[in-house]
Amino acid sequence: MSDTKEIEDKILSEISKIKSLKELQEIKIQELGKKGRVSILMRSLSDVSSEEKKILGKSYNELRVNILKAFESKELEIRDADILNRIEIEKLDVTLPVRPGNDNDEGKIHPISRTIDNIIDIFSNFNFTVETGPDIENDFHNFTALNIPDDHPARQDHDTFYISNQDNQERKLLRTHTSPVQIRTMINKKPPIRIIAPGRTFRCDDDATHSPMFHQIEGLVIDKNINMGHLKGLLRAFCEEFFEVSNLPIRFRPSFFPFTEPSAEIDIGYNKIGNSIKIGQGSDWLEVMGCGMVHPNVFVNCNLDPEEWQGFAFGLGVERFAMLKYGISDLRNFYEGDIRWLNHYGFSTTNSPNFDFKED
Amino acid sequence: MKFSLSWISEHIKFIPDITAEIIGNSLTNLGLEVESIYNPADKLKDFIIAEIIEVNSHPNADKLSICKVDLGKKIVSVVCGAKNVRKSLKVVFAPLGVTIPSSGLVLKKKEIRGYTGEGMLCSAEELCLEEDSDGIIELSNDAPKGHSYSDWSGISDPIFEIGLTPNRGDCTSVKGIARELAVIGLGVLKDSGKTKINGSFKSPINWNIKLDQENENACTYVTGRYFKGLKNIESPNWLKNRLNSIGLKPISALVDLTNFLTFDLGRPLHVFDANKLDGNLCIRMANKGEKIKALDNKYYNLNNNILIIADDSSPVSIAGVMGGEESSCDENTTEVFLESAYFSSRSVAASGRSLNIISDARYRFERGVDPNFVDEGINIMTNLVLEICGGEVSHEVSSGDNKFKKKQIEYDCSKVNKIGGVNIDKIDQINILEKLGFEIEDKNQKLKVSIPSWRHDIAQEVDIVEEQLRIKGYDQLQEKSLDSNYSLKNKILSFDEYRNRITSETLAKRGLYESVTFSFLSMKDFKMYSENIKPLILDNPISEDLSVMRPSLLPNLINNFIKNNNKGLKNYGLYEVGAVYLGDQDRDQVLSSAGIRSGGILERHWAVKQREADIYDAKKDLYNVLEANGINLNSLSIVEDVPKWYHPGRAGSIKLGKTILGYFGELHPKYSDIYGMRIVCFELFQNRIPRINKNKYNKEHISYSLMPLKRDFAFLADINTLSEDIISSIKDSLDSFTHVKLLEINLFDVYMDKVSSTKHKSIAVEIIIQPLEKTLKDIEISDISNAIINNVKKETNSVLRN
Repeated sequence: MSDTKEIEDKILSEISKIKSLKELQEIKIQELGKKGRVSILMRSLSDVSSEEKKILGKSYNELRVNILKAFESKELEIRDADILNRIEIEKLDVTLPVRPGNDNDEGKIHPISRTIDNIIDIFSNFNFTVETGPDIENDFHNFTALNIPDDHPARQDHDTFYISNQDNQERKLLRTHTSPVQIRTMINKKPPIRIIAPGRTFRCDDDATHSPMFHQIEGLVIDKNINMGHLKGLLRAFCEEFFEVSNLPIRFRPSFFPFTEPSAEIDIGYNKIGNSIKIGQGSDWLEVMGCGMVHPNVFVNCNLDPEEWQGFAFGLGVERFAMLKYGISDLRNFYEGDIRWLNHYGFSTTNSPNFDFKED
Repeated sequence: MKFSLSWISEHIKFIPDITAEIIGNSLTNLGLEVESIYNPADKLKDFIIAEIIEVNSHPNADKLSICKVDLGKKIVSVVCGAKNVRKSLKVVFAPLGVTIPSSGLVLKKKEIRGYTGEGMLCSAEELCLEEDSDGIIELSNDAPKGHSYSDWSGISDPIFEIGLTPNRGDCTSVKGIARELAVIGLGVLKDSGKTKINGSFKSPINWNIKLDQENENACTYVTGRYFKGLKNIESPNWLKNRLNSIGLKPISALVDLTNFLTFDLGRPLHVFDANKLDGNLCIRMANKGEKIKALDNKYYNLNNNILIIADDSSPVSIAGVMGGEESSCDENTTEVFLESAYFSSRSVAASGRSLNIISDARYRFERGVDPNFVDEGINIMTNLVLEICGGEVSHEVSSGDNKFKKKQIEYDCSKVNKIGGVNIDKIDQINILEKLGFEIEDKNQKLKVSIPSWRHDIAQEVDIVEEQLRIKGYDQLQEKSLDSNYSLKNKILSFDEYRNRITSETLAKRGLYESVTFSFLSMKDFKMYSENIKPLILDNPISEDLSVMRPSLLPNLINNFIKNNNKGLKNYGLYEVGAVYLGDQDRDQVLSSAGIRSGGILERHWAVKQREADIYDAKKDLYNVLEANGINLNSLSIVEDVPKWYHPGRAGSIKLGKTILGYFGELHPKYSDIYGMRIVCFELFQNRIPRINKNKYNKEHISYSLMPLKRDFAFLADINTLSEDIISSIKDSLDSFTHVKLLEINLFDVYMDKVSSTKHKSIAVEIIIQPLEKTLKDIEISDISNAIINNVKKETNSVLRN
């Protein structure tokens, strides 16, 4: 027994003297390796009786564990000291002035940002302003106020992300659409209203054509005499402007959204040539936007009188518009930050959407 | 929702010359979006009817035979393994090059034990006409050889698939869709009514609805009939074909009939094997602790929010969602009890959601079934069961009230114009409503309109406006432009949005690439990049890696960066402008920007020396953004107290007064070890940048006519002296000289002596001064120099080098 203790003390004292990781590695091999003192002890067990083996085996094993622990804590100690040392050596004067001039090529603006700005720019011509709302929403703004009660089947289509309830407060969610901004605007501002609201939206869905995070732009127009004709006129003008196609074949067809009535879906005509999509001709239809006249219940939920005010709302997917306009085929690429992709589909800061030349 | 042309033709007599395309377009224009029209016969066009004229056994295989078949124009030989090959049999021949529907593979020339055929004889299974089949198809003798099989067989029957919006419970049936087509004049509805069957005995099973006041609407009416002496045989062909056409597998007559009625009439029914029931049936809320094994063979724990049907001993069905396995029908069933009920959409939705069961019955009840069709539904089913399975039926037994009162609303015909901007004649409007099944009482001023019992989606005037516009067609909407009440164009952006764009453009100009990354990340990343905040954890994340809301933009940017790096894409930087989430309140969503760089600052180039990105690049990214946002850089200060993810000796917090605007620097050495690379970065709290004051366009007048004065100074400072302190002490020293303006201080050399025991550094600056009034005399110049030297010594304890 005293043998074991002696060996342990010797090794521990050696460990305590180690100064570098290299040294530590060497001593570790020397002590715990095949020819090390501990291994020799272990091997000696095969020569003793089973009775003794039990007692000795236990104490040898304890020895081994203690030594391993000592190596471990020493290693941590050295690493921590190394880091502190590095921090000391590497210290820089952070207040030194930055380099002058430009020693770089330009980077690029992401196509999502550019598409949003492009759309904002178009709506600015119709005197819209931009509103935003938080990504973390409550049930009222995201569902109830939008005429989507608890047991409405439409809720199932939304695949909502919920945030764990921490302090027994209201359980928050990640907004599933930009429509809550409609509610926030109607509650906080007096009509007439003419806004668009770009932003991040979230749905618990993840496959080749769905991303758990994506972008939408919501639009809302409220006034006394706004009818569905205005909706159709505006959205045709917008689609023609965005896709840069005049006389765009456009189809309004009835659909359903709980917060609009009547509701419509907008399809635009396109043609598929090989792998690319040509917008503006051909007989196939592509669904691009949802819209409709704001539901009277939504007005009531925002303390507005539906007999006095009426108007329309619309929503579109930014990624989808970007994909169609710029020929991007894979949704996933938007978020992966692959430098080649960013360089290929990104935009220089100089060709701002605000200034464009006329086609002759 | 799926159905075939022949199926819907059972409900509507179409006008002549109708085509699948016309029906498809009409449905889409009605708001029943056709997702696809597909004809299963299209795949079988190239398959040819052939006659076997000779059968010889294969010399090298017992089970194969070599046949000569007559294709009309020519005779070919094939190798066939089916047992039922025989001379004179009419069969379906697949020539080389066609795609076999069951496998999706193109038929190629292939040697089978030394013989190659010129095609293949097909089984019904291979043509996807039956689920499984024994041997090749046997056609009738009159099949014309050489003709296309699909043309002759009459299997050409287009299948429509509709993406139904959740409001249209009435169109979850073929009948409901036919009703819509009839309204727009594509045909006339057929009478699907069946003779009322009275029954010959009293049902031994009775109903009892036991619901308290709170739940009394969950089920308002139920009816049932008892059948005895029937046989649950295989379904007849017409029924199997219907189900097969929409992808449902036929099982047995009773099961198939309930499925058929669900899709055909939107009337889910349930059939219990009466011998497996104990006593009477009761409709009630489940008790906590009760369990049921449902038809999907899974056990479900019930609770008192779930409506069930129970016999005297246990639950036998989750009402409107799914029946119980233990009381289900099988091939030995001879006595059944048939149920037809009106369950509320709210109750079925709640049960379905809480048990997470999706079923065809739930789909319909949840969207609302026709409460006035409960009795008719069971009568139609009774007819069909007796017809197919035989036996005797009891009188009806029911509980609750089958008199559903239709909702009535007032409707002002001028609303169509007010909301839709379209004029539709009152007579036209009344006509449309009546065709849709509305009953109209007062036709004078406002209409008093009774809503059809199957239209749960109609509650208000606007709903009727939509009906009018929908039936008329949205192509009737007149496009109008928004009138502008504004004389000047509005400023479109909020200040937050404006600032984001200034930041973004500045960073792109700095050579960084904009990235858009997810708003969530892993708990590990959250812990690495947060201090003193609670994680916002998603209850239902896509994966562990995307389970916590991001407290910083850095981790996701870095992860993208590392992915690029692993592909060998180096020497560049990324940035993002977006929200970080420090709590779940609105104010906790903080607009931020961040940029990261690693590797070389440029790719290799003959004219430019490559260098590694360092903290001064990150600092410049941050400073350029602040400057572009209108911040006077002289008003900023740097402190070395930084968050834990930064290198304590190579990072700084940028402060404006007491506010921390952001950080820049290198990541902590521990982080560098984890990532296997040094990364420099910055983070900026966008919304802490003060608003730009728009009115400050006027600038102070300065004349630059005199020659500027340039002087170099070199100071010997303690190694820990900050260069900024030396620069600001120079600035301070010039404050009292009002006849000159400091133009620039260029720090052009730093030399550190880390070896000698004194640990000094030498800092050299060039100072450029603009005289404002007159050229400076030597004495004035030396006054300024001395003031600088003295103040630097006083404030930083640094001395001028000789």
